[in-house]
Amino acid sequence: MVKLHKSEGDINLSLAREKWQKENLDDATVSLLEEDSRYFLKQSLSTPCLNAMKTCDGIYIEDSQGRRYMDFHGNNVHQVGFANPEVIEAVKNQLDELSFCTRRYTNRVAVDLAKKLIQIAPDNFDKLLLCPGGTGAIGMALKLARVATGRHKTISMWDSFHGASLDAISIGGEAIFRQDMGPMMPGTEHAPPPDEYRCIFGCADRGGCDMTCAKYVEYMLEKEGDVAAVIAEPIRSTPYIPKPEYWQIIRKACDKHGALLIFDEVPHCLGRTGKMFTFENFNVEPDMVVIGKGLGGGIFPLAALVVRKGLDLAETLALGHYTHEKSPIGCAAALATINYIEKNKLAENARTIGYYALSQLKKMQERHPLIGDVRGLGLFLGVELVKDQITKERAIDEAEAVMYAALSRGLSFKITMGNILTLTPALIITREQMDTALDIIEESIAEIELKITQ
Amino acid sequence: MKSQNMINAGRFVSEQGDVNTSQNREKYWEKNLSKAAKSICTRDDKYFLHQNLSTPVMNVLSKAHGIYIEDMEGKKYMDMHGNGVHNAGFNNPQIIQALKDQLDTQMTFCPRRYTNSKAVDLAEKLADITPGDLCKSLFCPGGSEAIEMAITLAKQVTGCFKTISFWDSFHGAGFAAASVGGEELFKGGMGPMMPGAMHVEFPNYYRNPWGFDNRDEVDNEYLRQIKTILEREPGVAAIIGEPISATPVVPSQNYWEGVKVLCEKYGALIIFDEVIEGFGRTGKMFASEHFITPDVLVLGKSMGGGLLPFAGIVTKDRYDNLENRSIGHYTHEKNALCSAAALAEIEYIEKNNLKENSAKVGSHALSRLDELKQKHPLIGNIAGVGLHIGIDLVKDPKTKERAVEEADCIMYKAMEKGLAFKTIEGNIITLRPSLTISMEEMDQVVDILDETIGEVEKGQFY
Repeated sequence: MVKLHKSEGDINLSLAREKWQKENLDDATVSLLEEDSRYFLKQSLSTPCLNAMKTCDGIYIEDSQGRRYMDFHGNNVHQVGFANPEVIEAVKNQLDELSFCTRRYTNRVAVDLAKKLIQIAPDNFDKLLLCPGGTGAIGMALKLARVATGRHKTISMWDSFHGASLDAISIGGEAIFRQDMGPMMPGTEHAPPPDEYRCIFGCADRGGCDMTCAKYVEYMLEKEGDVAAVIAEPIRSTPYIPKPEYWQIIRKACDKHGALLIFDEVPHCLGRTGKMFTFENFNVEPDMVVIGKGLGGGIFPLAALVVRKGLDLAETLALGHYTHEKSPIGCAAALATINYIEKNKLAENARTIGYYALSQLKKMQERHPLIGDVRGLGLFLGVELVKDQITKERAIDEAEAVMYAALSRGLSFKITMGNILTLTPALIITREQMDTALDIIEESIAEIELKITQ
Repeated sequence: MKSQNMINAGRFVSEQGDVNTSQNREKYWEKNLSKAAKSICTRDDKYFLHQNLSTPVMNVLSKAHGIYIEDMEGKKYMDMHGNGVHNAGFNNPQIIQALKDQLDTQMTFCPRRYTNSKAVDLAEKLADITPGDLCKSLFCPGGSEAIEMAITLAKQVTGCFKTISFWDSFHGAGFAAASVGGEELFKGGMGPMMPGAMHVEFPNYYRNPWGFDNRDEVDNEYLRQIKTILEREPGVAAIIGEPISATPVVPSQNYWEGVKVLCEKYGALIIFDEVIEGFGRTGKMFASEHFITPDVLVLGKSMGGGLLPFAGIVTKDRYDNLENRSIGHYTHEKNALCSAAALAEIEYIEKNNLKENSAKVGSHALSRLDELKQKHPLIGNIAGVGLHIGIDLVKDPKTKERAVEEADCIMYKAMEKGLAFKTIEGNIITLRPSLTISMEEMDQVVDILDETIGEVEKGQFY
């Protein structure tokens, strides 16, 4: 029997999708999609694709029929907006200079980017390593943790996503990547993630979160005794925002048991949560942080592992043997991106607009029984749809229907865990644009609620 | 630190390339780097994690074009390494133009649930130019990830998880890629790697442990070893290898045909890693064409036009049955810029007959190097096909003892004469220039080698 997994995003084989495509796509698009399916391997979340794109700019993507959608997903590469003119200019200029750097050489723009990243990171961080993707950077972090501690075990979270390679899916917690894959990396243990709304430790019955989930991680660290690292997203992509205390307890436990703390900030680094680094929201510093996605300006695949002092320990090994390690083009794109974020105060904008959107969503929740919970930090927002406020049964079909209803109104977003609308627009979004998006969400939810009652 | 000592005990440090902490390296820095270059190197040291083969770096680049890289003082080096991205030459103007044009369309990123025409055009082109019935693609940013997609596909298709791959091979730095790789550099001190990753030797006609001098005998022995594993370890998902090893050893067609027969018998897939060897390097568009069509072909490096990180797999239609799994969940999967660069690269290779040039200049180089071998006792063996060439340096042609120190000296001497290359396994000079190289330029390369090898033979070390 074929199992459909909805943990990571919307599924591409559903009836709702077929219906949406039938109503919205013209012959040319359908034929391109057919070609896409003919030449690409099919997999969840990509081929067969939903639609074909022609272009993208700012907060928008545009399909081949010229329809524009505010993209509240963007695979999280779009902090500075799609096709950002300053990033494009920087890339073009770099193409006229040095376009590739073989690995035994360095180049000025790579060093400039490194300096900039160390500058924007907290004082205790002093070294980094670059590579083309978040998955690779996670692998580098895991290797360095093994070298630094002489241990190999890890504790990570169920439901987390850290990439698609074997080590990344081993620490990841989603069946869509792990099932039928044979043995995972040895020593990769998992803990339930913090989630006050659906706490598996039942904290709701005790009057709210009492940090049992953090103490459980501490318990695991103690029982194993030789864990190399706790590796987690400081904010889950669902999104669930733990209390600062959660990370503070785990930080202390890691120190006590000789484990490193590694944060995966690939999807929300560089301003999305209102801070350059997500962990800055929690008053905790990890030993290593992995950033990616938007680091390449939404154009170039680029990620980085940034580490605290004292971890430059692997000079005789190959931690990250990647061809495009110090890509001048990638580094130029990243420098332009960070400069753009700083110059235009995008972290502040994310905080302001995010705060506003969250308060609007909370009001919306009062008006709509379908909304079970809203939460978020900065422009990393989630709306959890439930069939019943008390049982919290996930409203999976409803969420998918809302997604297509919103798509038809010009708003694109991703569903995670089957029933959570995740909203992650470009950080350049204005309050007016956010209002438009919120209106679309409310109209779409209302439309589906009406259908349910009919 | 204890773990560090364990790592360094008895290590084979030069297996993948030159060592970046040697005395020769220091001498080279002193003699050749300007103040400005040293200052950038110091900053590079300060901000980047140190690791083998990158930081601390050799020098600073200011330009790369055609077959050349150029340092800050404007000194040019013919680059025989290029990290394998330079099949169409560095900074190829036509590929850059294609990239700029693509940037102007603003189709600069494609969220994964959408497709775009550039990505589809590229997948169609790959279905067209890859050998046999290979027709289905999947893209990702790097070769390491592409190898993992291939292994994942094989695991899913076969329901098995074990792999057979080759000692001394390199397939990437990710855990699974490093696990199937055969180099200590990526595994030493790392703790447990991917379960079920088994290794055999790649055929070696120059250095086989039995002293066979007949190629068939060598092939048969290695095939026997693979057969033994397949029999005794049921459940092998795939055999993963470069069709030609990196050093390079060019196996006989019999060997890969034999492997294919065994794989078919025991239900394992054949994965060819052509990250380095694809796109014309060996005188054919793909190295597979010298031997057999694999079940999965892995491509990378030059696929990004020498500008962008880009890689992928191409496989057969019958393996396209994993629609409920995510075997390549990469953000930049159908990146339109990368696709534009790849299309421009392929077009350039085809229009300028680069694979034919590779075959022609390569065979000229091989025959000239064979002449050098008669003259220089330091040269133990010459191997290669197309512009994928290796020179095995030995202290003694009888014992074949590896001339590691000599190779390192030759490398730095050649560097000062404007020729850059990489050594593998400590003593093998590898020559993999841009496929745009002319006969005259290749003659210069061989001349510089002739001269520097001669100097070192006379005892003039670096």
